[in-house]
Amino acid sequence: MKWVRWGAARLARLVASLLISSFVIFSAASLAPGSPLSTFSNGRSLTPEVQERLMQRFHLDDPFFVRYVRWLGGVVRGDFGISIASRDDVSRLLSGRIGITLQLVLFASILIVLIGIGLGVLAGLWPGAADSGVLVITATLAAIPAFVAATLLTIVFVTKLDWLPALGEGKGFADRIKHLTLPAVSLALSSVALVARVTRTAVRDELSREHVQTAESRGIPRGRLIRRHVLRNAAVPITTVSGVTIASLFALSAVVERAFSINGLGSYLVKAAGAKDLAVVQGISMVVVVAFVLINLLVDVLYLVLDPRIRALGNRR
Amino acid sequence: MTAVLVPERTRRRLASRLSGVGGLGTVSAVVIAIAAILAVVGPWIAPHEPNTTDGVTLAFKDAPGHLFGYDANGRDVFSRLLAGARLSMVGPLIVVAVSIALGTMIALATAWRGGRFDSLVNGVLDIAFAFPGILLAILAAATFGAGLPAAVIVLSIAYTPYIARIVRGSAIQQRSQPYIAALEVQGMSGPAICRRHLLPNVSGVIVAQATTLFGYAMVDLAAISFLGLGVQPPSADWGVMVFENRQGLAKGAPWPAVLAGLCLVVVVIAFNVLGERLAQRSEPSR
Repeated sequence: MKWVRWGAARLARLVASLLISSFVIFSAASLAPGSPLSTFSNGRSLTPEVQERLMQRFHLDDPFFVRYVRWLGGVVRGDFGISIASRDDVSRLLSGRIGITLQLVLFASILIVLIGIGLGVLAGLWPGAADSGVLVITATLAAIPAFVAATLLTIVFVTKLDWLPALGEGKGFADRIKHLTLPAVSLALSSVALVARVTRTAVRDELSREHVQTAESRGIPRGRLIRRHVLRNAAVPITTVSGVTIASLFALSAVVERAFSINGLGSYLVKAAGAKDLAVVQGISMVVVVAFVLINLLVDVLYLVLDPRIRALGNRR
Repeated sequence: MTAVLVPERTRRRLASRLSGVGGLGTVSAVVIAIAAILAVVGPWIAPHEPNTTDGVTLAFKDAPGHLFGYDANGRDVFSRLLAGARLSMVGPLIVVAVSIALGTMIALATAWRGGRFDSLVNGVLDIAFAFPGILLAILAAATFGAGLPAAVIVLSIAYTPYIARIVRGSAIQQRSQPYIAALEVQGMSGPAICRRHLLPNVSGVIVAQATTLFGYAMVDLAAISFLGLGVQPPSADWGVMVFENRQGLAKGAPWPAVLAGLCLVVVVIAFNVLGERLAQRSEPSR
């Protein structure tokens, strides 16, 4: 029973934050000055009859709240409305582009988890040269924005070495990986640094704990000591920072997609924002926020798996 | 030279401000100071007009008098970098000032009142965290049109909960100290204690956060400009410069884009390192 209550409370928080986000997204796009029909007419003046027909077709005459509820009802069913600029279903426009963005984010997430945690554990367990090396590298990487990383990587791996393609998405699995390598590395770089730093601190903190020193004095082999006593306990802060950085990748992918001319959700969002294609902007923003919220939920579930104390806390409530 | 120019008192005050940040921290402070000075005096020392094409340079593919060369439109890269320094730093300055002011007010109010007010405000701030700053900036650009002002306003709002949360943490610690209770017993009013005693005692945390935040804001605003939704060409911050010189990467002219990127990275590293050192200094436990 207590489990159900914990789940219900968590779910209520999730729904509340989605509702508020959806309201912010919808009202922001509706605040835009000028008629939404101007993107349709391309600046031509429309006759009053045509204008009225269009207003009716896109329900632009309805009060704000009615439009919001209708839009939200559609979103729940996966229907994001019609893009006035391209006269096409927003859901269809998005579904053609979401795949490449998901692949890019997944690729970058794998890099963040493997390299970030790997470097952090390395630096945490072996003080000295490895540690200071990792610290210097991560301090630099953390300050390199994704679009600068994209520029530098292109110069090295495309212009100078000619190992990897500069632009586009590629066809087939191997070619896709090849095309997405530089974008994924650019996207992951500063997050790798952040995850490595937090991992290092967490491992350091655990190593100096009394229970670890006791275990060491009891003669537990170092491998088992590190796995069962150090990494297990360091896993909670590592999960937190990994989750936070990966959740932000969806928004950040706009930058990388633009730098590498990838036709995904991010670059489409930027294009739609420039063209005032509001239905598309609302749709993609909603997808990004949902992804953000779901990853945070996943992190909370992982806490339960990793830390029995949190499970106990959930029970007590 | 400088030793003579800077008055003794100012020098001593500066030295005490920087004490405890270490060698790397001091170097970072110097880098930031140089960047700030260049941003201010940039227009006076720029050898060329940053936004006008030099037809002669472009026609003869030669660059006499261009320290860092010229870009694809025949504009002097050095002059554009200087103009870019100003645009790249004025945005973050406003973002940091606004979000620190708002965040600190929220933090002090919630830490002082506590109770239901505190948990209500915190719930709202938690939800505000669900919004990545860049997404909010793109939304603002779609609504109000692309430009630096919209991006700056939106990032100021997006950073406020972050500041509020951190400052609140250390304000709550101070709130429970005996000296605060003593002041309350003496009949001093809540707002006065907050302003005259609480605020000075959390100022170390605020300064450290402001420094780190400045670096984040620089990266975010440059990324927004790179997306074409921030500073509008022909004006350029460093983000715009990286984008508009991207074509040069394949054509053997990578320098304009690389230099703009390097300027950004160096200044951001300086802010990150100094912010980290200031944060370490403001933590009495370590």
